[in-house]
Amino acid sequence: MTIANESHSFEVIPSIDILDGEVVRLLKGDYARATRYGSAADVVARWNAPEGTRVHVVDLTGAKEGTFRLGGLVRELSSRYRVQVGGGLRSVDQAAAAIEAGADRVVIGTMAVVEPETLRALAGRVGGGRIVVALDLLNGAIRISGWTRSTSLSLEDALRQIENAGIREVLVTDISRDGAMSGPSFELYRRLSGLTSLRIIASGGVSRASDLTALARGGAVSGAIIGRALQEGVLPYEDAVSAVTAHQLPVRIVPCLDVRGGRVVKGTRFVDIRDAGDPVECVRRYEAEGADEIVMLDISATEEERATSMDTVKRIADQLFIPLTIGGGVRSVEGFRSLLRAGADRVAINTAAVTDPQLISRCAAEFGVQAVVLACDAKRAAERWEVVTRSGSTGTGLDAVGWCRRAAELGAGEILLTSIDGDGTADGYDNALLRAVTGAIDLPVIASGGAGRLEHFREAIETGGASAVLAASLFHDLKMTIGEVKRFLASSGIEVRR
Amino acid sequence: MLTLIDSPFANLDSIARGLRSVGAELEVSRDPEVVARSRQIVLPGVGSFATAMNWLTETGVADAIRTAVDSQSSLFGICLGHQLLFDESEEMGQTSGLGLIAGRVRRFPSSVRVPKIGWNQVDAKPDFLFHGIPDGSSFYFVHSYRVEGVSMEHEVATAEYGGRFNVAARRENVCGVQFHPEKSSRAGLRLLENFVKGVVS
Repeated sequence: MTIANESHSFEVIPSIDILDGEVVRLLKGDYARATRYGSAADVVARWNAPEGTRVHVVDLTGAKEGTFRLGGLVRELSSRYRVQVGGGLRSVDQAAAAIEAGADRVVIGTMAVVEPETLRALAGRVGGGRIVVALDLLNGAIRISGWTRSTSLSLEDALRQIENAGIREVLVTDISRDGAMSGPSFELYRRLSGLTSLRIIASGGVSRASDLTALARGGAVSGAIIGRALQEGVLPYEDAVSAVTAHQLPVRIVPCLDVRGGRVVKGTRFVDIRDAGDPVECVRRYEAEGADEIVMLDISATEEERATSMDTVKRIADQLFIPLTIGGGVRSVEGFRSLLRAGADRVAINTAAVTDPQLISRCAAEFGVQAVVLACDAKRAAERWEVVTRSGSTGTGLDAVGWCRRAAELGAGEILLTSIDGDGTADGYDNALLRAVTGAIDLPVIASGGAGRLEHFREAIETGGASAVLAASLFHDLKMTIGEVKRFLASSGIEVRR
Repeated sequence: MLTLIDSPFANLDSIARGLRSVGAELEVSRDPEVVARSRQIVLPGVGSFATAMNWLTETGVADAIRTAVDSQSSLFGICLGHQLLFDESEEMGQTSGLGLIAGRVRRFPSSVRVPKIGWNQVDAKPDFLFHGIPDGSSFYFVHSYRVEGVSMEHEVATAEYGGRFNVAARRENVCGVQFHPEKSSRAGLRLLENFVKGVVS
């Protein structure tokens, strides 16, 4: 049985930021770093959004100078769309003028925070339902006046002030993420929804359809602004809208066993190996707990140990009625075949594929893409991730994202992506690495390395875009059960198998 | 005695383990005479429709299956084995199937990722195959093609992936499932048990 939150209405709000009469996008709020997209009329027409769609318009020039200048544009757009406009609306008269020009709602930023009495006066004049308060947050603190100044007002006090003025909706931008395509601030929105009964609109960081699916399912926000990804054609309006109700297969929870010479072993960052029990007992417990799949990595060092491992695969397969993926030391099509014969459903190739990439295509041609998993161990290196092999000890100079893309082209059916930096640390998966890979290829990715808390699984799925989450010692040491992880994810609106 | 067709294009061992674990006594065979006389037949399969169908035809197993079905033996297809029960597939050009249940095999629409690998919630009608399995249980799937055009009368279960599609069908003594019951934990084993112990017609 799969479980998920009840579907609720979720609004996708396309947006344009106007600077000097043109649609632009600022990187991290920096006026000096603007990308230009052309006139508002042209940009909006390209979306093919239906009549009556709420369109979010930001007057960046006005925001900086403290005056509203977009009356003409609002008048033009509001004949077809429901326009909400903001930027520079710092007096009751300016905001009322925007409503008179045809705006459905006005977006109030700075004024709502620094002049609560003016906000109340505006609500009295145009109605609280016509006002959206925009909060710009940098690392959880409120910023005002076109993002250039900070304020001492706490988030909690600001929200209370807004509620007391009769406002019903806030638009929250995490400016540490905006425009950088690093994903929406899922955790921030969850925290906010616990602090207020205001409807929250997410703004910033939506760069692909799955971000909207995750936001809609998460339930913390009632809508999201899309900007740069829309303007650049990365996320067409139609795809954005259908993403809200997109069906996804349940996320798989995958316990992993490192096996050496027939015994489960544990280690941190591939070293400090110690014995941790019988693999057959282990997998039986995992299946009973609700594991969706088992990964067994053979880390044998000798031929004798490897022969024992083959026997272990057979013993596991005899007792297991969920999919089994085996990896470790696979060097050839024949080695691949013998693991499938022993009972593996899928086989993971690592080092051998780096040395001989065509091994991926040969195995895919022989056994089908669904049987071929590319195991990629990646290590942070300056601005990128480097592929490392031989259990993390050898650098290859290969870029991890590029290598995963290549493997996908060669016929891998799934990527098992391990962060060597995160492995065994319990500090969380490397979500930036996951997001970079899941954004670059259209294959399911298993997140591995770093799980320590329940939130880590959620982050790897929502921010990282992982289709499956893997953990070893966490489950092995009974620090957490698979059932607990599933219940937690389900309560976060993430579909799991029950 | 149940006959598991010894197809070179199948995950035979996994299916055999699943069937044995629910008490089946089975013979793994590709001998047409054995198949034709068998009272219960399981047709497994992974890989390409055309390759598997050619093999069934050339070895005489296809005719043996038809003979057994005509004499009221029960037949159960798994994954590609399920697809082979239908009229035709568009995988690698148009290929005829066993034609035991009306329907066609088509590729998933391009809007969804293939191969589809993972667990999918299944909605079943009352049928002996799903007896005792909780409503909305999930099963494990690996496939890029799906069966379309199955009549209401023969449709037993559906799932949602790029639209609703058929995942289990039955026409009298012939039935099949698109998923892998042998990899679907408790629900899957129960389904195998239902087939092994069930009275189909």
